[in-house]
Amino acid sequence: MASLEKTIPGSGKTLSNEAYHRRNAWRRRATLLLLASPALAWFLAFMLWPLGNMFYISTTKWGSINGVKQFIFLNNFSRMLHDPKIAIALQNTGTQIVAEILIIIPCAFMLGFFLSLRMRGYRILRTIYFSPAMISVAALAMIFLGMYRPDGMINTLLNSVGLSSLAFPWLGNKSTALAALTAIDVWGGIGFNSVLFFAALSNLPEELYEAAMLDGAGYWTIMWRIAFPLMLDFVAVVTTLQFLYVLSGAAQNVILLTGGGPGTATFTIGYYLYDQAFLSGRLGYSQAIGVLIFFTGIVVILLIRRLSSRFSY
Amino acid sequence: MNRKQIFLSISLLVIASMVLTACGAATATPPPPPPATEAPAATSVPPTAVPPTPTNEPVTLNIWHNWGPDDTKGAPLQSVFKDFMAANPDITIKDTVLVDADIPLKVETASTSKQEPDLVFSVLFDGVLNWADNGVAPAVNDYIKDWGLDGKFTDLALANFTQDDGKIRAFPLEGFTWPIWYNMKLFNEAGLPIPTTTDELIADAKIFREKGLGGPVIASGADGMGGALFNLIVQSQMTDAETIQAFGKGDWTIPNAIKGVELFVKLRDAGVFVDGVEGVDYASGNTRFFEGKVPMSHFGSWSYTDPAGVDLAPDVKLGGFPIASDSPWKSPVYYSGYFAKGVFVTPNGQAKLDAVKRFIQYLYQPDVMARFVPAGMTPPLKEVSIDKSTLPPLVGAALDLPNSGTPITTLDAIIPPEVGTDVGRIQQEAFAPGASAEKILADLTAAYAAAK
Repeated sequence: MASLEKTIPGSGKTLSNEAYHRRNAWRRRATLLLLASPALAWFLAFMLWPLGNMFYISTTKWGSINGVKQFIFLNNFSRMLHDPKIAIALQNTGTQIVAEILIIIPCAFMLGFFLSLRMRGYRILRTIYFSPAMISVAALAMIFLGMYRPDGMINTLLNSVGLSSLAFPWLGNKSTALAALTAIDVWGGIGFNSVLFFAALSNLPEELYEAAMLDGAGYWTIMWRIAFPLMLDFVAVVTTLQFLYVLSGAAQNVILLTGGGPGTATFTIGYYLYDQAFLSGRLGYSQAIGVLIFFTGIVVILLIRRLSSRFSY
Repeated sequence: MNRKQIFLSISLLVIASMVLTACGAATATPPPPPPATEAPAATSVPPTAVPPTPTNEPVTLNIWHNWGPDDTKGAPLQSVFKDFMAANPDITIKDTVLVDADIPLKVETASTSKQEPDLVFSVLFDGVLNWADNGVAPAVNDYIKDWGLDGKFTDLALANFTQDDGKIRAFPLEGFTWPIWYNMKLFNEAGLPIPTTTDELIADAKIFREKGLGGPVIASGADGMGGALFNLIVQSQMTDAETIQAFGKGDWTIPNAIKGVELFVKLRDAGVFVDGVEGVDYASGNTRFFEGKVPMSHFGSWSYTDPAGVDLAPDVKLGGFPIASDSPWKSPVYYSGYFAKGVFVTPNGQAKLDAVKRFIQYLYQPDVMARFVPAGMTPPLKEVSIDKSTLPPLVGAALDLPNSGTPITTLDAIIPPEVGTDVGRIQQEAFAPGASAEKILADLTAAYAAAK
């Protein structure tokens, strides 16, 4: 019969089985915590502390980094409820998110699938598709500024083929400015994400494709009826990353190219945060916008995960 | 660990981080505002915390500015540094060239860790307007008095740098003019004189369009430089007091403010601006004018010696923007002021006060200041002798501007920083066809109201 007591090696102390296992479990946890403490300290310092700081500053009135903070509780959030620019910013950001995800994800998946077939020259194509990610943000902005000018490359081309009616001041026209900025993200996002999809699709067993081909399936059917369903979890990850980029990171092009204008045509929530923090001297309010972005991001990420787990295999 | 324990641990970490942050941050009620004075009066500079460095010990003065080798004022500035150091061997100047627009944020960030430079050459705009109040660069009233500079500055230069409460933010340095540039070759080819009224401008626009040149005025409707032309046109209908009321306090119900915006829309709809002006950025507008393709543009004195404009310079005449018949001004208007650059003294500079004093006294000698005039800078001192015959063509031509136009003040220190970017976006939208005066005025009103 198994003993109901255990002796602790080295000390001679006797514990009940249950107490002995509890003690061992605690020691294991303590050891894990000790080994993980450098990473935890980094996480606390560079992830959680700035996050906590954001929440704290959002409850203050703070004019500049050299100014004095004044605690105003939730006044910034109540201001947000009456701020018409918040609705405009969220609308523009929502439009960008929907447009970019609907265009980038399917196109990137198709390109990634094509690359995963490893046809001749796929390595060179993979490098070409990834190359936009290697261009700095400022350089990219200058390239597209030159293209979008009234006398830039796009309008020159349109004028030369007799389509001058389609030549717009792309960044200066309210109807085209947001689409012009979205096009920059789409141009870079399709290639970059296609390489990610290529990496994930490369792990699928080729036998699946072979079996489908034996049954008479073409590449289009294989791509959407076999590869895509199997990749749904990864599609959710890429969609999440793209969503997070548009929510916050896409403001870089707004800052460099349009300043949120003309009017409020390209005024996004990420740009509004920057505007309030660095241009308008309202650091407290800018962090309240940051809190809004934070919770918006969490809600949508959970939604994406829920949808992907519902529909994936 | 089960999910519950993991969630509890993370929650505790988040709460701990927030508590640590709140405990570590200094919260305080803001200091009471300075007492109001009826007329601007000199205010005392707060005593320095660190005594100034004795003169016989080597001192390094750190100076941040944007007059690098590519700037026409770069070479004169380096000559000033060199000659000053030769005359003051105990002082070494270490200068750092930065992008103009980056200087304010970099200085503010550095000052949080008390690593700001000793002196800063910066434009007076946006957050810089608050430096005297938030301690980034304390007021220089006492320095002007004690260092023998009292009465040396022009009235406008000092006024541009003086706050409502009397604090002088910095030593004014760079004066500028910002006129309309007229390409006389194109005007002569069209058989037209320079317009002095908006009716003449509209008529000229029609003629230039018939000749295939398009609208005569190019402006960078896509960025802030075009906004300056919007401001100039609107201001041409307002007195200085009305300008402060509208642009400074957001009262766009003033009749002349409404007239000013309506005038802008009238000119835009009459085809005065080039086609697609709302998408033109400063660089491309610059290029098109200097290539001789456009009759009129709006550049500042920083472009008088621009190498791109060297070939065109002989054909250029400087003047004001035409005024409407009911304008309160008597002749075409152009911008003139001293906001372009001031020398700010930081707390670190206050700790080296003797060295700073000697540098400032050296810099603000008339013959030293005169070195910058050929680069297009209007000196802030009353007594700077200028030999016009030695000046580049456009720099010399700018000296005659008061003969043909009326200088009015720019809005750098008038538009509140918290509404500046909104005004910029509204100006950008104003250049686009279809933007009505009513909408522009409503947007401006809403922007100022939201900023309060």
